[in-house]
Amino acid sequence: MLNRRQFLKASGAALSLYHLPLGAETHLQQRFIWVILRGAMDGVSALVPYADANYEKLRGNLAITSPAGGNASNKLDGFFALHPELTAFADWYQQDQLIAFPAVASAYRDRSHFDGQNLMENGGTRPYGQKDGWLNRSLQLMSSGRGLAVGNSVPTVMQGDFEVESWSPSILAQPDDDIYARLGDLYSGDDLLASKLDSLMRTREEVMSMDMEMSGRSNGLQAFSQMINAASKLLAADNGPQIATLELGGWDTHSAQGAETGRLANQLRGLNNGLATLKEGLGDKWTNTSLVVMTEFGRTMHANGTGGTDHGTASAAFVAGGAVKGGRIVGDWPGLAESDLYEGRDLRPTLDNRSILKGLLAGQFGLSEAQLAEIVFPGSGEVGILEGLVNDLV
Amino acid sequence: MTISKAIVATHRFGLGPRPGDLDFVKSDPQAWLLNQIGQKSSIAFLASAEVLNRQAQNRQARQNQDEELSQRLTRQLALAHISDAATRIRHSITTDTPFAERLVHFWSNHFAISADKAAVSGIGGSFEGEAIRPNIFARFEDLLMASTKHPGMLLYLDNAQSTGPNSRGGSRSGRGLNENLAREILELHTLGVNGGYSQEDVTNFAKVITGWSVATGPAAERFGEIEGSFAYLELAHEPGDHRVLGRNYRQSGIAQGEAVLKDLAAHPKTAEHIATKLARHFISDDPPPSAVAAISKSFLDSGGDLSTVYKTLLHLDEVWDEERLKYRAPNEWMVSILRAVAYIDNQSTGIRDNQLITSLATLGQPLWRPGSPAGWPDTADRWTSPDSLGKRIEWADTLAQKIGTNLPATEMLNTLYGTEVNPELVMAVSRAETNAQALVLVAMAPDALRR
Repeated sequence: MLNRRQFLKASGAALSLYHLPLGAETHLQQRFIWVILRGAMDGVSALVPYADANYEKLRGNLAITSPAGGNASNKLDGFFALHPELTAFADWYQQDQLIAFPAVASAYRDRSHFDGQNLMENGGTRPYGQKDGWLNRSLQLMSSGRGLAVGNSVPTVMQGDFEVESWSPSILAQPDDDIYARLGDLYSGDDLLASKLDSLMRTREEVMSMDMEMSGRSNGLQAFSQMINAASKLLAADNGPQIATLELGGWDTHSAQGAETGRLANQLRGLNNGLATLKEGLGDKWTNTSLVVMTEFGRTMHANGTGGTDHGTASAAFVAGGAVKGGRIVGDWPGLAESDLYEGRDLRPTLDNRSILKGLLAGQFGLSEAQLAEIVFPGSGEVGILEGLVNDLV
Repeated sequence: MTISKAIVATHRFGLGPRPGDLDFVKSDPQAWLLNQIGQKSSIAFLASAEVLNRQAQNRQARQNQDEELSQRLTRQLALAHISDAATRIRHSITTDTPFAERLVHFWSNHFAISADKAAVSGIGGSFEGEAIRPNIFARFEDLLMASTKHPGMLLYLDNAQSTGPNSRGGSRSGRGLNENLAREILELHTLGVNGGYSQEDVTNFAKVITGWSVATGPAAERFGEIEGSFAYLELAHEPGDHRVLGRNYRQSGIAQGEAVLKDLAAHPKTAEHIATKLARHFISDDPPPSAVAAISKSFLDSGGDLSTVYKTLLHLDEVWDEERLKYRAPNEWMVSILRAVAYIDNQSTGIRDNQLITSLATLGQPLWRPGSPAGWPDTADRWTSPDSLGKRIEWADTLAQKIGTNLPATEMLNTLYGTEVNPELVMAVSRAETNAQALVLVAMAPDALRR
């Protein structure tokens, strides 16, 4: 397994491109939290192009009609509105702390969830083309840092040689410290288990020192909120992780999708409430936070035959937080006329998700253009950095 | 025969030895496995017809605004799910044919449905009991057909309501296609994601299986051709010929979909996909291409006869390597520990149904709820997170505290490895402060986490 120094050496050309990040302490106070929505969120229901003449025609019963009908509370401008359940998102937009991107996609152009998620997370140019994830590679490039996967497993985006931590609440009793020490001895000849145990011990120590609410485990949206409530304490600590991931599934709305209310509305409410809880828990750290909400791809623009939508291409993305220069819509709107649609069925992408991610990683952590184009997102030289997403670091 | 081959047979291909198993198996470990081929187990799960029936009653109760009845029915279904799931876990812990049971788990996960979708909560047991268990020693085609026609799959992947736009039902109601099941059959169940199909193939295949629905509801009852809890609705079937993967299907009715499924089941890409998954499951995360090729060839040569394929697998040199390359998924690990301590037999400290189920959820692998039609991933990186390791330590500690001194840790070692115990583990056990602590070390040792 490579340590950071070996990694830099091994990446040859990268060594000369590598420049030390700006004042490390400033970077250590930054928080970059990537929220993965698994299952393909329907972008035009989250960020609604209510003034597009084709929107209601295409969407029928799935259209969010309240903004066009005069409900001003969730309108962002004369064209876009947020889904009525995204109340915290709307507040952040008003406070210039949220950017909405209407038509974002990764490099992936097929319609498999699993390949789509893998590519979005491995950060290369094809599914399974990279063995590790782009957030892990980012951590390897930072002068010092910690990564935390909130949940029971470490998602692909965080996997790799940098040893990330993972944590989720538990309903089981905590064993004595002694057993961990003895397991440490038992694992001394086993690199994989030894490193996982090390990482576990670090998080465990912190958790034990905090007054953590272990209300335990339930399924789905409720669990998301509970997990965030506890995890935000870890993220709020001054020496807490700079990079974190959250995952929320349940977006694959092939049937009974609903509109202002229904299955998708429930999902959006869960997301909204979870992230509002996260902001509360982060306290002062919110000022240095960017919270990035992305999904593997979007959904078909026509409703399907069963009150839902099938797998598509572009979807909406959001970046929120005190670090963000928000109150803006960024990216072109591709339109919804039949000739505008990608392959006659999907929202056409106008922005590569890597542009957004590069802009944030450069702005918050000082990663260079070359590092981003060659190491974090290999083969992405053509994909420019979206500048000006975050405030100047203080 | 040496004990080490018995260890491979029971750990890698079984669900871990119970007390005495190694002695029983060691005379001929390979024969012990081969003899399990063909031994079907039937478990009394709540029948899918009954689940559908109760769901329908529940919808009716809600329509009539009969809160009390609706709550009672919802509770009944939830209890049935708990009972089915606990029965499945207990069966894993006690079965004498653990290789056959592993194959059930493998195929249940290949044709995954997930109870986090409300429409299929309560149906996980019947799906496994009706579509998977009876067919794991048959041809792959039989398994594919049974899975695709089961209400669990038809509801989970939304085909039950998919309607041909030009069918009688479609042109009247404005309903239409849902391509979810068609896509996942191609991507996950048969050819694999790089199997060479296009969006047009997905759409056309979706048309072919319009009308494949479930046997409840007014339309099915009045117009459906019913086979058990499956119903074919001509009313919703997209008429005409449809082209899938370069072949034109001219059949009418249900025969059209059956013909496509038969061709998919016999496709070389399917053989390769299934062979890769089997080799990954039983050998290593990156299985040797030679093993994949041998299994794939056996699949094609035998017309997808699964019993033949398993025999080929068991005769590969690669599978008998003593090095433990696979990290046990939570279900496998938990079951192997409970088998080793024969805990389930100990009624004085027995585990309640909902504790068994909660345990799997806590360990990160709730039964029949993988959260995705791809099922649980079958590589170590999914299960080796620090948090996942932490949950196993906590769970093992909870179990060990309950057992206390009732089972000496040395006995557990003997059950698991006979005379072939890692000396470092023996040392660690002998130095432990309490028997409970020693049991945790045995359960969490590298050799217990891998197979």
